[in-house]
Amino acid sequence: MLPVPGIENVECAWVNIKSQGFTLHGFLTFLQSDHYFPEYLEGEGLGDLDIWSGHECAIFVVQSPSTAWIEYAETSDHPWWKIFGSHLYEDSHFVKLISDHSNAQVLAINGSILTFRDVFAPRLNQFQHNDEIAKILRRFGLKPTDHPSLILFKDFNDRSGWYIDLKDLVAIREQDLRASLQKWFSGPEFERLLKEASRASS
Amino acid sequence: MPQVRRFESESYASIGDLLHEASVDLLPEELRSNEHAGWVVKNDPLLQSKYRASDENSSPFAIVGDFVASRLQQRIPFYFAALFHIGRMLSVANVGLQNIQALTREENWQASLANILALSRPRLSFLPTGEQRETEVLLRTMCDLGISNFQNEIRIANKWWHIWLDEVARLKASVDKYEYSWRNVAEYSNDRYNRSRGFGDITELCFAAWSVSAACSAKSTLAEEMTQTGVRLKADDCKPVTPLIGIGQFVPMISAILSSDADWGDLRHEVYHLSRLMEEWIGNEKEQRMQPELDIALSILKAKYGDANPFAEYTPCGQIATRELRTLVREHRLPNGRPSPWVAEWKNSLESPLSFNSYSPLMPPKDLTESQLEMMIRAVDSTIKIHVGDNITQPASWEQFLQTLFESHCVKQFGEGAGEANKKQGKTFKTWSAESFSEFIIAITNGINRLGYELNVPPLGRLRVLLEKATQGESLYGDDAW
Repeated sequence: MLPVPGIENVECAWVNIKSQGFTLHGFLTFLQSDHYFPEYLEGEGLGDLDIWSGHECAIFVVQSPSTAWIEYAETSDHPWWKIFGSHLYEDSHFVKLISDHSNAQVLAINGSILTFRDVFAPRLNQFQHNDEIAKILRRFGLKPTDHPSLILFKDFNDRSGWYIDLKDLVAIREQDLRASLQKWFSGPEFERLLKEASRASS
Repeated sequence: MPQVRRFESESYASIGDLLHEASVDLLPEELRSNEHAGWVVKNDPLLQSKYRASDENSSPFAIVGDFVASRLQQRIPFYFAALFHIGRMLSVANVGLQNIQALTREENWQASLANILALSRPRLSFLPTGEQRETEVLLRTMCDLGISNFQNEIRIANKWWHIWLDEVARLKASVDKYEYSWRNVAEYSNDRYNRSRGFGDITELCFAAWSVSAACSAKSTLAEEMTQTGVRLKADDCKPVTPLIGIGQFVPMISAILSSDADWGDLRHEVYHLSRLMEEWIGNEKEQRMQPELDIALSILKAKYGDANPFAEYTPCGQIATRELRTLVREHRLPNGRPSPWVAEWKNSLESPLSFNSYSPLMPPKDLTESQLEMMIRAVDSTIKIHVGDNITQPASWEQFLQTLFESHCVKQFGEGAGEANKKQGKTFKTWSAESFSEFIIAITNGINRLGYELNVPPLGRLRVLLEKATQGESLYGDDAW
């Protein structure tokens, strides 16, 4: 599992990745609204998928691995600190609000409900934005609604790949999502794709 | 369960192209449509460079091309990564401003305040229940600071964008000049009668190469500013190879030799020696550049196999060559084309591959003992194993593949050895006749099949032709049909 901050970084990293001899490569597309994919991947998801996809498959997740980022902010000039630090950080009430509720959906923006974090400190890897996802899917000849999904391919030079529809896994509980993904990666479909990709390379 | 379906690129573009186009789509229009941005994006990090003349690697011109490509590989990935970083800063800040402006619209504002108040009750003790004003003040302050922050981000991004344009324009100008010189040299290179003009062009080419090098080495204000503000681009990932920095010292030598007034014919020794020197030097450089990939490949193999040698069972006359052995051998082929230490250790334990020549012809059939035949069978088994990872030029069954290895690396060798023995008898067939040679091959084939192979004896007619050609001293190089 290779978290990258943006899709262009996949391209940048390709030379090094290629040399590691993976049989299959791919990337996971999802929106912030594809619950509970973002939540799961910000938690244990990255580690799980890394293990389940095995050493023959490299999957890019275009999302920085999240940590306890408010704490991180204070020591490394995180956007929260940069934006509000000098003005409001002495206000313990404010600190509590941001710390406890930065991901709470409370801010109404033209019909959508966004979080404090979405509005005031959007990360530069705003890959999750609908239109950006749509651009990626369109380039691959997929529909704008074809997310969340896993797009797998053998090599950058190939003209075809595999689309794995993960829409059925939206809105199911995190532990059920985890179980479903685990089942798929240990199941015959993933094994078949690995074999097919392996045959193509021999 | 997730459904899987195959997709094909409709535009015949590769996955890499599609990803590349998708990433370019993410740039704001102002950046995407800029001529210099287009130039950097097309010189993508993989840099399948037009500056490398791969079909004439040893020529001094190709080396100048290599030099330019390696220098650009140092710098272009930085501008590539910086372009996308600036693009993202602008996009995100603009979206942020739009969001805050939308938030301050009355209906959004009231709905948001209600949500925050609902959230705060009863958990946020700092907001006295019902104190909407307190919340409103806090949210207003956040909006003001947010707007100020996004405007500052846009200001910084625009400043960086202009520095980016300035630095890339200078780099591009030097590359344009180099490309112009390159075209001139290409035009003249087939025109020996216009040599005087050609020498001038080559000198210009070398100077242009130096200009590119200098532009690539120039201090980047953009890099400094970005580093100072804590931006660390992952441009290091974009470097496919360690650049050929030191080759720069050869450029004046090439220039001096090629631009001299002397006749090309008189310079052939200098050009030859310089080319040899270059080849050796480039070979060393490539080894160094390959080292990170080698380290990765070796660490993967070490993690997988540890101290155990997966080839251990494939000893001479032990486990026969199988598909699994072929897979293993190919897995253990390192990025530089050499075998892994596991393969090297295993190959050392095998018998030397069959090899006969005029100094060591195949001994006459009457002198062959059972023990010597056994040794030859061990050598045949080892020879097949040594070649089991070879490329298959034509798709074949596994049995056909083994038969091909047997015939082209063993039977042919025996034929050449028998032919050498016959040559010593005045190119007669007194030592080895077609019949005795066929009997010998039958004995070898039976022996090797006892190990578990299922190889066939080539027909007598083919063996006869092989022996005749070898006896007459005809070259059998590349001839497996006999």
